[in-house]
Amino acid sequence: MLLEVNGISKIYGDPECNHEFKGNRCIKCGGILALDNISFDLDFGETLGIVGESGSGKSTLLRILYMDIEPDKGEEKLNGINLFSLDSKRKRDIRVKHMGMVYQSPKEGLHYNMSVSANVAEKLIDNGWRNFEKLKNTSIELLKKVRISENRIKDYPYTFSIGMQQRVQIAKAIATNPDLLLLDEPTASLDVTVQAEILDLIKQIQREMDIAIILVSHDLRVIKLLAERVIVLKNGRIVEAGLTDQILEDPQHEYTQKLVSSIL
Amino acid sequence: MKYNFAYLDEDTKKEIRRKVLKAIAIPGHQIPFASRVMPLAKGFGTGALQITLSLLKKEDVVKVIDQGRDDSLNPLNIKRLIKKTAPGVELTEDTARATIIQTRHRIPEEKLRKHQILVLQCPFPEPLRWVEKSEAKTRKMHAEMDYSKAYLYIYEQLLRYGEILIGTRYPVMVNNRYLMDSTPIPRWDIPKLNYADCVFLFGAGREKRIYAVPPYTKVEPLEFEDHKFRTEDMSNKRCALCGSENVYLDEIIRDNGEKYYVCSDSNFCEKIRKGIKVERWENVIRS
Amino acid sequence: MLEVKSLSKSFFLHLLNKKIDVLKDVNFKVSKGEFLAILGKSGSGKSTIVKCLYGTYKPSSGKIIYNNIDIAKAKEREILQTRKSIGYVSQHFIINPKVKVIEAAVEPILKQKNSYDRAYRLLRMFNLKEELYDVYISTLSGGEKQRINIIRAIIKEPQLLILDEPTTYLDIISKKILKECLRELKENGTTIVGIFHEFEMLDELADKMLILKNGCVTYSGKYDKELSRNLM
Repeated sequence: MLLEVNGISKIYGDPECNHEFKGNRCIKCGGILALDNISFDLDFGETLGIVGESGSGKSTLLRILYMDIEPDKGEEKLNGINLFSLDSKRKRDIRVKHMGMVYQSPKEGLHYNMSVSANVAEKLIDNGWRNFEKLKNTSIELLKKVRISENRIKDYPYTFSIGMQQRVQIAKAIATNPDLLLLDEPTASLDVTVQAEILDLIKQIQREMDIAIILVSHDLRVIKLLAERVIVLKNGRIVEAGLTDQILEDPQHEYTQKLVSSIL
Repeated sequence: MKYNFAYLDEDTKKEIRRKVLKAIAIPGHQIPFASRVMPLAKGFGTGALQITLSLLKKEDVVKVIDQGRDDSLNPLNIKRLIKKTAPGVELTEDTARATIIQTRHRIPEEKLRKHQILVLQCPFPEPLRWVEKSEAKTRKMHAEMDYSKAYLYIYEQLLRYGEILIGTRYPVMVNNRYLMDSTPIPRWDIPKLNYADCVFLFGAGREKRIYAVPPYTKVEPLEFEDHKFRTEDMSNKRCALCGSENVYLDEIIRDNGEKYYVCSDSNFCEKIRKGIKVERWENVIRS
Repeated sequence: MLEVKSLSKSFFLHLLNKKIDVLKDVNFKVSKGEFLAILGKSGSGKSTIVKCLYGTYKPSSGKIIYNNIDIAKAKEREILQTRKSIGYVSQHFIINPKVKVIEAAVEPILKQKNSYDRAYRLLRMFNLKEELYDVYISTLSGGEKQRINIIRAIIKEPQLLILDEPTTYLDIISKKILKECLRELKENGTTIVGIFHEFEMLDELADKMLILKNGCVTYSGKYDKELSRNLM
């Protein structure tokens, strides 16, 4: 088992308060229950979709998995190692070697004041590479893999369309051949034709790299295309989980049914 | 108006001296200090000036240079302030005689000795600012020695130009612990920091930071395995005035398009022309 | 190798606050190498049975025992595991339209040896011209897409092949090829469960048949030409 997630909870509110939640708000301090007792697992090479409307806690969950933020409760085990109890340096090491993250907006994942080649090379440098030629050549290969040509490696990210910027993020995320790729609404800020290109790219990566993927999206069509299994989040809780075609054709929970019916 | 000796009040001087000691105790680490309002605009050396004034004693001999020259506007103004508020303190252009040297840019060509203090005017104390805009995050990175991203600065240079052309802000590792921004020092002078006899103090008034490189401290520039650190190429060039080689030269272009080179360090150039023997730094040349 | 006991499936439509019983107490057995045809009017529940077999629907009650695993109660991972030996041809085209024909054909077995050879062989067998191999799925006709669907299911060399109206868009020649293909698979031991509305496909091929009416089994036994046409 690649990833085991148990009981993750995240509350934005007064840390001293002994919370009493009505719905998602604490009636004592007004705090918000962003995630409540999330548990699931992911095997090598599997793709898991996490779906829900905006505000359901999807992005928060992904950032907790990527160790960008800390949960209030719960544990995350990667290859059997308990991640949250590690010190900062170990967390960073594991992140660089075993995980890749693609943020919803490329502005969050890329540095706009350096070339796309440097952006991709950043992950390799964090992984300890200190040979310039190797870094440069590997960045060229990775950018080629996401269909960005060699004569553009020196260009700044803002000179590319948003779809291409997302591709740069993807190239960076897979640079160190991680076991786990996290995608936060990778196509949300893109128009329809560009969405298809990105989804194609992700599918290609799935096939060629045998990488496990957690894909967050509010768009069930994206999930349908890429994920075998799916978790449905509502207000920070898992309301339904199962195989993608089960959820799409035979949704059990009222909320899932609403989500499914809205894509038609 | 009667000023306290050297313009600053004694309490301020005490604070700055304490911060300087702290900076020397932790080589390369940025020490925050409460930068005072100075009769200079920010960006013209207020930080370094506060250090100089806090350390000043009547017996000191002060030299101030800008781009290696003693007679440009910035040093002249600073020297005027010192003359007015610290009477009795000798001002000089002679590198060998000075006990405190404040510089906006260069380290003098003449080797500095044990008792000399070099105070540098530093505009950008944070070497990681380019990669990480958040102060909170850069502090964490320093605390955890998370310095790999500093290599990106050099990477961009090599990618764009095939070689390192940056003049200043070259990142260096001090005492194997802290990553330091070497502003304002040009690459040519960076090797001088390593195992020097003198102490280097950096003051950033606008950013409110003091940091230091004590004597006999290891200072290593960051480099890739296959692209080592190199200074500017001054080979095959000599000063048109004194004929010296292997010095940092300023390029001058005449109206008729003719290019010639002159020593950046004016005091050094003058001494050579006068025939005075000048001791040079040992570990300088690496280009 | 496949045994279905008391399979029932109801849907609860939260938005309309209604419950509909689509399947009621369905029972049947299929042995290895047998061909079971599922017949019935539209809306009688045929696709529902087949989707329950594939794990797309979770039955409301009952058992589906395939290779000693009860698919009705299996966890998601187990279902994904069993699907590796099941070929499923659905009524709809679910292939990514932005993929090339050859890629779509080879995808189920991409990581195996000789995957491309097997793909070419099947593409040729189903009369798909070489000019089409590098073309995107979105540009194909309905019949061509359906043939790709079938190829993707067969290329896996599955133990169980499930077909849901695979002949809807096929021309006569393709139907003949499919029938031949199914015969060959049967001889090699593949178990087949199929929903067909064209009886010509089933004659001389189907061993058993199951007739559904309003979710209930009205006939379960040997395939009989006359009977099938009359009971429908």
